[in-house]
Amino acid sequence: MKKIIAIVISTLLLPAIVSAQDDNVILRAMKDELVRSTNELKYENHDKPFYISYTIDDASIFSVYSSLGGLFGSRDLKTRDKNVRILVGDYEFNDESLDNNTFSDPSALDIEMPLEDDYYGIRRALWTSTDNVYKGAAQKFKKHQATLKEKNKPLAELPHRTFAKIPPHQTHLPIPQYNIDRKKWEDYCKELSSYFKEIEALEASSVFVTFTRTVRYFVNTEGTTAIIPETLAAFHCNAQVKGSDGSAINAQATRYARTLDELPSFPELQKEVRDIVNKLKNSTQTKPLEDEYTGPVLFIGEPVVNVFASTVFSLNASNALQGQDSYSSEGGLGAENKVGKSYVDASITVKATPGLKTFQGKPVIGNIVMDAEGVKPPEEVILIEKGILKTLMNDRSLLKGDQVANGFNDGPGVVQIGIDNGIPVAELKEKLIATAKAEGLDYALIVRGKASPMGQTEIYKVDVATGNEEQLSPARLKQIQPKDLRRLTATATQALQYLPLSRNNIVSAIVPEAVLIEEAEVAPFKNSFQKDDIEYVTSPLKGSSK
Amino acid sequence: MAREMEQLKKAPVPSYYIDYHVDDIQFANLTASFGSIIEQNQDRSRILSLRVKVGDYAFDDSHPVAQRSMGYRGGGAGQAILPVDNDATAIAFQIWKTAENKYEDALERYKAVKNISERESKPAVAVNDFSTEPVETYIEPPLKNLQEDFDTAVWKKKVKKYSAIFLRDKNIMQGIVNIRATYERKYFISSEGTVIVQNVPAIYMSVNGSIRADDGDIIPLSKSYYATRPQDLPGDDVVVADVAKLVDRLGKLRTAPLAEPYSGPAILMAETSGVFFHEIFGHRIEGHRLKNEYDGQTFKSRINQTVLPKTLNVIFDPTLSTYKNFRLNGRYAYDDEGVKARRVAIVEKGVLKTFLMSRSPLENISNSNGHGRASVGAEPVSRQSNLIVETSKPVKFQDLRKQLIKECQKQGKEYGYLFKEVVGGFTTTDRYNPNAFNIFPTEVYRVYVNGKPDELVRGVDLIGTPLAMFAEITAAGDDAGVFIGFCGAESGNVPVSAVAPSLFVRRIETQKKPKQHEEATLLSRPAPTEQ
Repeated sequence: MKKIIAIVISTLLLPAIVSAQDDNVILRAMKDELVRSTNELKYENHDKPFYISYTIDDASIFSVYSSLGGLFGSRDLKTRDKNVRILVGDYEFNDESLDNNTFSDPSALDIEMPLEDDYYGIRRALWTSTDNVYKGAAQKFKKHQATLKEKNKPLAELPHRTFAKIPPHQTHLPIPQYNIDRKKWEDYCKELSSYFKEIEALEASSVFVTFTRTVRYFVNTEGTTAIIPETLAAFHCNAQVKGSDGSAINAQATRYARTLDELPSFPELQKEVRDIVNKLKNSTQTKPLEDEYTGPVLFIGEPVVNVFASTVFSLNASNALQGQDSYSSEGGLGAENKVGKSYVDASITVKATPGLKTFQGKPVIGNIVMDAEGVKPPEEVILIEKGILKTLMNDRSLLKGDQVANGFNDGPGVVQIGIDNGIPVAELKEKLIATAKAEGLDYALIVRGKASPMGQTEIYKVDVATGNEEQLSPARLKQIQPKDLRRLTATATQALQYLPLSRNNIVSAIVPEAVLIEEAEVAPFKNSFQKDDIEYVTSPLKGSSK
Repeated sequence: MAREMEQLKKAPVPSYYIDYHVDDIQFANLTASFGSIIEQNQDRSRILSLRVKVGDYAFDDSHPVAQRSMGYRGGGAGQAILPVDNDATAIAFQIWKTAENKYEDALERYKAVKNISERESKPAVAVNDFSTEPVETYIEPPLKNLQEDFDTAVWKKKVKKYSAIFLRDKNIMQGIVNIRATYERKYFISSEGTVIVQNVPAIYMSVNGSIRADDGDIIPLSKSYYATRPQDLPGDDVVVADVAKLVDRLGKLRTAPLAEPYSGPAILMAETSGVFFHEIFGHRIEGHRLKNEYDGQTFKSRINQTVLPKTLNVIFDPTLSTYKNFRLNGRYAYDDEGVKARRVAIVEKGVLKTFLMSRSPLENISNSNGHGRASVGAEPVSRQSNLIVETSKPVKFQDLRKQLIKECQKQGKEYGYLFKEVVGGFTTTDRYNPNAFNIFPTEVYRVYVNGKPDELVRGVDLIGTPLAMFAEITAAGDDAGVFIGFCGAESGNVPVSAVAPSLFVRRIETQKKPKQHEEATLLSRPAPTEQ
């Protein structure tokens, strides 16, 4: 099909201006529109809303991207996103009670949120969403009422979600202002990325720095108002080389901090990148893991966080109604039925401590003051105690009577995993070898260093006879399940690691420095897109190695 | 390129041609809705697209074959982002990786088409796959920095002011003004020795409004402006008046009756007839498509035959930046294959003379005529540029109306249609679907034979099949109108203009537009008056 159109509007490229904000304008517009909506919304033959909340996320995202000394991107993007939630019915039975899909269909008449503090513009953007979300909720509630009537059962006998009542609060935190030295970060990224010119077998490389400043504005009809600023700075470095067998070998480093100034110093970043460069130079000669491996695996350093990534960090209650499509993770669904039961090794205790600000004198990022539903989480929630699952992280939609909204709509924020009877790393290695021997294996595996993209992991082969280690080409670790954590030994000492749940949602994980899983599966890494290992034209980096 | 070419010539299946195309784009974008800025971007990027050809000019990896059983899973791989600063190593590395991927892609395709062509029957006339063209050198002076011309603060005020005019009507649901400024410097080099560096500055401003009718239908209207520098766009007085008119027209459309399907006489006013020609004619004379056995190939064997009324000439001229005081956006000095742009008379006195050609030859046309075009990152094919329709027998607009009314009477129609403005359209040219077109008018009137005033209607799409429609063009006006837009096809969106006179067509067909059912908002829009 060929077509002609008047003007194609492109959103191809990104902006660079942060204007001074008058926060009161945003909050005042939100409050005023909330009052109007509460008092005046009337939809013929439908119930009025009993709950309305407005959220505006005012974000500025600074990013610099460089490769091989060239500047590929440098921008400061400003966005404002809105979220409108409206419930019709009451806390016990409402439009979200019988349906897993709680999202509203988009409206063609939507008006976007202004980027400036424009009182009427903000109200107009909220107005169109309110109209759309309320109509959808009111219609759905009417449908739910008909379903309840059709079932001809008391509500208590019908599986349904309730909406938790939460005490209102006013949390208005000061909004810090940041001056970004763009030129400095551009120069840093260019220089750091230029180190990869030394790798003749380089296939790709990049260095990114990002700094996201978000201010969340929240109001609801229960009386909660909030202004919560959050920041996250990140340094990412990725590179890929072609191994001797033609396979792709990746390496990466990521550092998080609350601000750009709190990122590692430039000399530290230089060392970090130099280490990757050296590692990749040597890795082209490493041997691959020959066969799939099942047996004891010792995790040391950063990879420890991945041991728990898909298990104890995602102990969220899905609260999905059975028999309907659910987007929740298997971990969450599975965990709901295991509260009060043995879940992992009895030596493990897991606590969510979303308010923790420092660990061993270092700042902890990912703290949660308030979740996306306006709920303030407690200082500490014990999720697993000596292996027994005690509770799950909940939002305000509850499926069971014993659940409480504990402020974890956005995840745990900060998680601490403690181990009873911990032993030092050296003893863990001895235990690794002993376990492998007992299972009749010739070698065991150690995972250390940094986790890489594409699920690749830095693997070391340990000869059970000599204890000598040999680095292998990256391999793929099968995702650890809760059952894999039933036979586990770890260090008593802990380290702070970070796990990104999404671009701006980081979990700070205080985990053992090393963990021995007695049975894990590791497979050779296969790149399904790998082409024949023919280089028709030599890399321009050939001969550039120092 | 010299290094790539030297080494690829030694490959088991050598490459015979490489070109690199880099678009260095300075970009600014502002959008306001009802007086509020909702989008603001400003950036710079460089995008590389390249071609590596395997085989030779007579038979290469682009050789047209039936797609079935090619056993080839290729595509793309010829684009990359380049750094915005001039780091030679970073640029060379990106080019090397991209060229390597593209060569592998071309090699796979070459092996596949070679295999198939040996099984297929040979065509009666051998046609080269890639034409030989003169080596060119053309370098324009460096382009100014966009920020020197585009004052963000000034334009923010303007788009806010323009879009705030939509607040005058409480029933208007969308009131958006967007300005998009791109200063693009295009670099092209080929292994044949061609070097082209040319500038493409373009400023587009669009005004888009929509209103909800009482029956829930959403009616859109738009207005667009084009210039090569921000200061050349119309002044505030013109734009404010235009937006006010658009608001007024939206108000009238809200209560306008819905039109029923119709077949009968109509006038396509100048801007509409430009789009009409672009769709029904222009897409059927793009040369590369005539090599594709899936295409309808409407005009493939019609060279030197009469295809339009003898009073009409159709020209494509990418060398023009203006025509009759209209600014044209389909202008370029060299096309995206490094071939010099030139005026091409496609139809003279109704007779088809040639096709729009890229470097993909046809049986009787062995060379490009400078119409190989592509959007950023895409591979060029033959595309339209500035379409100009001229008539040797212009008729005054009032006479066109008289002809319309007379023809309506002859056909026993109570009214004919007058299509005044249009937002775009599309057509299908393949042979597996009906060869049809659909044009999206935004301002349509019924012209009554009994002298009743013209009546604005809504919900009309202009449809038809091309060959039938050509035969119905009866007269052309002494006026001219221009449509400035972007044409989307195989090689992406490229800027195009269409200039044409108003047309009287003996018989057109309309169908109902898809209708929406949007409920009225429960509360009124905040800020009830213009700010």
